[in-house]
Amino acid sequence: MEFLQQFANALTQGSIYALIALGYTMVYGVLRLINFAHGDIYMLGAFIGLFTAKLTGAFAASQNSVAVSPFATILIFIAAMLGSALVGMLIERFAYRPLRGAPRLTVLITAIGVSMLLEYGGQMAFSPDPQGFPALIPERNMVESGSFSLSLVQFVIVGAAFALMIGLQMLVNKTKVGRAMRAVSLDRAAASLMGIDTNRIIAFTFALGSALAAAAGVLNSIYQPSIDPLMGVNVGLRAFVAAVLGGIGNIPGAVVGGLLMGFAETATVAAGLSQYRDAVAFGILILVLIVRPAGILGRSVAEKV
Amino acid sequence: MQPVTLKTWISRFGAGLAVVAALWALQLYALPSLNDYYQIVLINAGIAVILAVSLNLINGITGQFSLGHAGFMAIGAYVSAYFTKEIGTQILDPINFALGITVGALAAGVAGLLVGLPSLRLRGDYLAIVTLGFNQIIVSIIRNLEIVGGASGYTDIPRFTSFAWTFALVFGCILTVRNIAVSSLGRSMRAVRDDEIAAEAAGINTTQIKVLAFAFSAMWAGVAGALQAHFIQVANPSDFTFLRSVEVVVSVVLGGLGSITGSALAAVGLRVLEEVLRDVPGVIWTSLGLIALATYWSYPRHRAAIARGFAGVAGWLIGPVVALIVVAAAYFFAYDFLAQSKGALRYLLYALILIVLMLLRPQGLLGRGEWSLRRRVQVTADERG
Repeated sequence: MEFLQQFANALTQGSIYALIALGYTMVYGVLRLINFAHGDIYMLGAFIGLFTAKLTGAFAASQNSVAVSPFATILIFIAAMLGSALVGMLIERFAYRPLRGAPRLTVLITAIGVSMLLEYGGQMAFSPDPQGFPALIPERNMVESGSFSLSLVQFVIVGAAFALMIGLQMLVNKTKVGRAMRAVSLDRAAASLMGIDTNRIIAFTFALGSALAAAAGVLNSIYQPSIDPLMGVNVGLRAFVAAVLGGIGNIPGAVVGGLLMGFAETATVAAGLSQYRDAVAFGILILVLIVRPAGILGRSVAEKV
Repeated sequence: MQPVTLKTWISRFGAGLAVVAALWALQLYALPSLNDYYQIVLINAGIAVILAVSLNLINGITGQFSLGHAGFMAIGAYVSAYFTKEIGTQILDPINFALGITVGALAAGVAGLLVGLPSLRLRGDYLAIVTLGFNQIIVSIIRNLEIVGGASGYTDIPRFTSFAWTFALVFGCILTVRNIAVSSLGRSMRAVRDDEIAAEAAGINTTQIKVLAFAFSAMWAGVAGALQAHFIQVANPSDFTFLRSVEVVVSVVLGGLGSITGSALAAVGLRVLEEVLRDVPGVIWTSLGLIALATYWSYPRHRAAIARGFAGVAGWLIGPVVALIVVAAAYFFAYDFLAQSKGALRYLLYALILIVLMLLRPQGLLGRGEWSLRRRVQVTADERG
């Protein structure tokens, strides 16, 4: 029972990591850039969700312990995803696009700057103190037997995460835009010669990744209802580790990596080492990079001289 | 190049002694007239210079990217503090401190060696994340080490750091990094930076070069940590997180990756700017300075047009006028708000420096060149004809 319970918790945490890791992996695929600011987009998604909740009255309803209408919940998700997608595109347009073709280190330093801008701009705009998040999904247990319980929230998180991931997989593999994305990630110059507007595809990739991160932000805030402007730092880093673990640039890899990270973290906490969560995450990263830098599902590419 | 003989060594030793004596004299006679506040700023600036110059060895000269300098600093701080507080208490204070710094620096150097090892397989951005990870791992280990105070910090460290100690070590740090940079080792490091594969093909042991750069740089970070711990008399794990590393990276990037004088000047400049931004007159002076800078920067672009009259002058002044409006608006609408969120403002400033610098002048203020008085004099003389 204890094991089953931990398994369910790990699956929930892992699906959230997987959603964020997808953004890292897609952006890395098209731009070969580690988007440091991605974890902060996740934070932004949670905050946009909170503001929409306040506007639609869901926040007040939740405080009076009245059930929030499902329409409000859906609206909050859509607002958070669209808002974050917009911010992601703006960041790409004004911070990364002018540096297309610049040395990778230059882009990396810019990404660190953008990340700090969002974190501390967020502290100024939303105050650095943690804030509560409304219970958008009723607190009810789906399954309950003995010490094992599976709450509706966990069920929704795993369900929504997997629905989004399957949707993304379809988008990438079955649509024209998806084909363009794959082409850009294979060879940007050649894709551009074949008539693909690479800038638009890159902007679209940022929008898509940011929307998924925002969804993860809202889902996680329902699960753990306390949000602050620095919440994206550690989660973002763990999701990045997940992306590398699964093989960066590889979409199914990000999902596998995210789930594995969820299990690793739950195991660490269950072993009573919750103080060392970050250390374990980075330990995994270092191990992967030393033993198999291409990740679990990635293919190693020989370096050409 | 003159051959290095015993005489060279004697004169070098003499010069070093003279510097230490001069610093000591300054501390004895000039420093008491300075108030405490300036002394604190001065010593903090010195520590920032050591950090920036030593990080420049990895990030600038060897072309690797470390985001974990604060981790090495933490090791230096804790090991040296443990030594001076628990082990060396019976020894004379200056010797105790000197031994503490040495032990701390060596421990940090060994850590640098260990962190340098994975760098053998990793390029640019991955290395950055891994070093960041090492930094976090070091901090979380310290946080759980009850023997050095755990999360609440290691307190009651003796106060040994003084002006003379700090600046003697600043001098030593700049000198050693500069000497490495101009030696054959430095040439190999720059070769690794410019093209690792070509360097390897030319017979450079890139592995050795990179690990050496890490170990050496970490050693000086350890020294800076030791100085800081014995200055503020407490070492807290949260002083050595990723943010502290970013502070150092900002100085190095601002000064110019690869420029030792650039790193040192930028480190001092950022410290001073931070202090200046603490109070109202400082904020006003800084805003005026920004407006003047905007004017200066937009001048060359419009120099030709200005001669043609009103429109040209207007074009030239658009930059400064926009800056003026932004500053005025900030005063009128956001003064209280900005005053409330000072802590966040500092990192926001760093973020803006990084982004704007990368977009407009990615090579930093000095690029890879060095600022030198001799060349300044030379250039002015040439201009006069």
